[in-house]
Amino acid sequence: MTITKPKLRFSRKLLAIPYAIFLFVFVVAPLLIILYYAFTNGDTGKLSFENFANFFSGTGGQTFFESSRFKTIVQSFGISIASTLICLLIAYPVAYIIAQSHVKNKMGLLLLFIVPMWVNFVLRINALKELLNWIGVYNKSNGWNIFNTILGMVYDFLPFMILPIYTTISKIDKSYLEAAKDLGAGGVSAFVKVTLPLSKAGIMSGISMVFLPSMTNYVVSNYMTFNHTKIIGAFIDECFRNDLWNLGSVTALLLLTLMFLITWLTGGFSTESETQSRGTSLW
Amino acid sequence: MKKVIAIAAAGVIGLIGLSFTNFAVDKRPVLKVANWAEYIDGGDADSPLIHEFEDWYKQQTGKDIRVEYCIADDNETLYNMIKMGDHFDLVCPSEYMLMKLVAEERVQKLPESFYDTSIDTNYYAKNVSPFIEKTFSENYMTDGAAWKEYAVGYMWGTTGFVYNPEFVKEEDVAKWDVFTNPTYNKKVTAKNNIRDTYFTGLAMHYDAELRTLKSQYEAGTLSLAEYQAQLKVLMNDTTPETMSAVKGKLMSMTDNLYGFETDEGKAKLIAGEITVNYQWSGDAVYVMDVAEGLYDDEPVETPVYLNYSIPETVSNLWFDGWTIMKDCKNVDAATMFINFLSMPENAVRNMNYIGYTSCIGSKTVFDDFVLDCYGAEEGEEDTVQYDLNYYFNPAYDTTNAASKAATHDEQYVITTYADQVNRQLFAQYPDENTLARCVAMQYFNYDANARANSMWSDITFF
Repeated sequence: MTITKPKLRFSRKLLAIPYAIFLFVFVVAPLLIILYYAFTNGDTGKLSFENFANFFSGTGGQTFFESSRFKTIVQSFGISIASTLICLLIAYPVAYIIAQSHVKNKMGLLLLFIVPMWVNFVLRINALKELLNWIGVYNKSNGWNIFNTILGMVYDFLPFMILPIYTTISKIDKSYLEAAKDLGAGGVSAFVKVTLPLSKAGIMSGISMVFLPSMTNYVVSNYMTFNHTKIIGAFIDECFRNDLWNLGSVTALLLLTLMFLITWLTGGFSTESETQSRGTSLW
Repeated sequence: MKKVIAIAAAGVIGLIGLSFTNFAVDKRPVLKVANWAEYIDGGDADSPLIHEFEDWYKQQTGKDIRVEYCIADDNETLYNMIKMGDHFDLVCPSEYMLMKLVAEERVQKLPESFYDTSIDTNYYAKNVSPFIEKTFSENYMTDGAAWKEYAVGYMWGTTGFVYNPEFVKEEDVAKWDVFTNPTYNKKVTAKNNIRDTYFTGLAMHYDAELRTLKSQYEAGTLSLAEYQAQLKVLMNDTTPETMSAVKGKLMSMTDNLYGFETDEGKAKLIAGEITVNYQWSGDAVYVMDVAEGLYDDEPVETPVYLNYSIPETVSNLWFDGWTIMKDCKNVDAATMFINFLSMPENAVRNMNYIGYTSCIGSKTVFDDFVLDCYGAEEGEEDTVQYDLNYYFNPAYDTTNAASKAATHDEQYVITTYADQVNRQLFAQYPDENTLARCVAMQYFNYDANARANSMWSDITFF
């Protein structure tokens, strides 16, 4: 009887190992730790749901909906929605123009929008802060603080909106537009009925790249408002700094769930074949 | 393609192997120390003091040691590092974190021989300031042990207001309600952390009680020990009722504040964007130095002369102290590291570099640091006498006025420039009367911490 030794062969699957390790160590493991702290009591370490109860209970005689915790969430959403919308309003025309332009070096044009990303973002935010201070609108009132936060977020995340939209628009088959024109559509209606729907994947991708970070990137809000404007990311940071890992974990988990829901509702999990059929890729 | 991968893999393996051999070369036992950034002469891990210690240790014991010097951002980060399982031999937390570490049984007591002054190398025991020695004997951990059983002082200070006397009245910054004073609307900053801000709120909440206590102490109906004990009770009140009252006080000040800050306030004060900055004394010294242009690498266009004030009712006394972790195997090396840093000449080097006040208070420190920095030149006018007996005179007996007078030593009275009474000298070494009203604040227990955190969320949302 002969035993055939399994041959040690270099298979393509092996190439996935580095990422699998990365995924486990930096994504799965931390998530498990968050889950552990979210469902245990901070004092005794026993399994409990009291962190959720704590999160949703008011403080100092207030109900949850009157508490600063709830207001922080609402404020974060407001800032996030505004930042995302403004990013979209600025990014879409730019991406459209670049994609449609007859300039030979489109990448060069695009580069103009990506180059700012090569400078460290804390540095850029600090520069913006000094600029606002010089103009005289830094830390002036609550209204200005909210405005400055949104400005900082837009400044920081704009390239993340431009790139995916540009990619989808530039990959739209020109013959669709020609067909629309042949069938009598004007410029506007061709755009509304062809280009816009076909670039939806890019818009969705851009939204998801901007929306979540602008809810949690408290470096921007802290720098731009002298720690005045609070977003949910800052709240989570406070919890972990002040030895309230359980409350922090619950908040992070709830935020994660919320984001998951939003992505699901906006069709962010549409299957690969669906996106491919539109001739688009996200990045 | 396969070749490229093979070469790359070989390279990676080679590098990993190389780094392992690197570790293997240095077989010296390790003493792992954690401290704050820029908190030792010469900076951080590259501090000359660390290498000098390794040499000194070898010379004293004949054994090798290698100091692995780590930086923690602040007490909360250090605590999280320890809780996550990072191993340290020796750490330097502030007094409240120290108390928390003791309560959680994460640190060990110092060996009894540490305070034996007959041992030559016990530099700490021989050189510690009598004031620090007294404070570390009269403050207790939650297990009833005196601080000194677990920890030794490294640096200490107070909290107070750095202000620009051109725009701010001295009597205004003597009161805690400067935070709500409309004269300084959007010109005053508070600290961006729960503890310092809660202390602020407590001081405002208990203003009347604190004033009563002070007048009783000054009238002599209350002894110093009783006075401080009462202050400690008030300033460590974390009951839900008090906390919600304090929250109200703090909420009423937020509209008047420029904001809560940690480091940004110093630059704003120099630039004139704010005029009052609630600050730790060591940073106060630093910002006063920078503002008047004492640092060559941070030039100022026109020097600004800032002052430091400690409010008249109460203030916070804080310490950073060395303590040995429970899982430290080499206690001898740890205590020798402390003693090495406690050599007066090393304490002076540290103070010159850091700007905070060392807990070492020997004659050498007085001569080489205090006189050197703050002593007035011969024949100068406008000088004052500033008494530092309480800090440097080992024989000084603080029992009562008569004993103080009997043990008072003229050599510890410094002739200094008149403005130093409100400036760097005062920030580094407040006078004895001022320190009578400065007390330490305990750590918050689990319950109080949760409440304090949600109070903080409410205050900072505006």
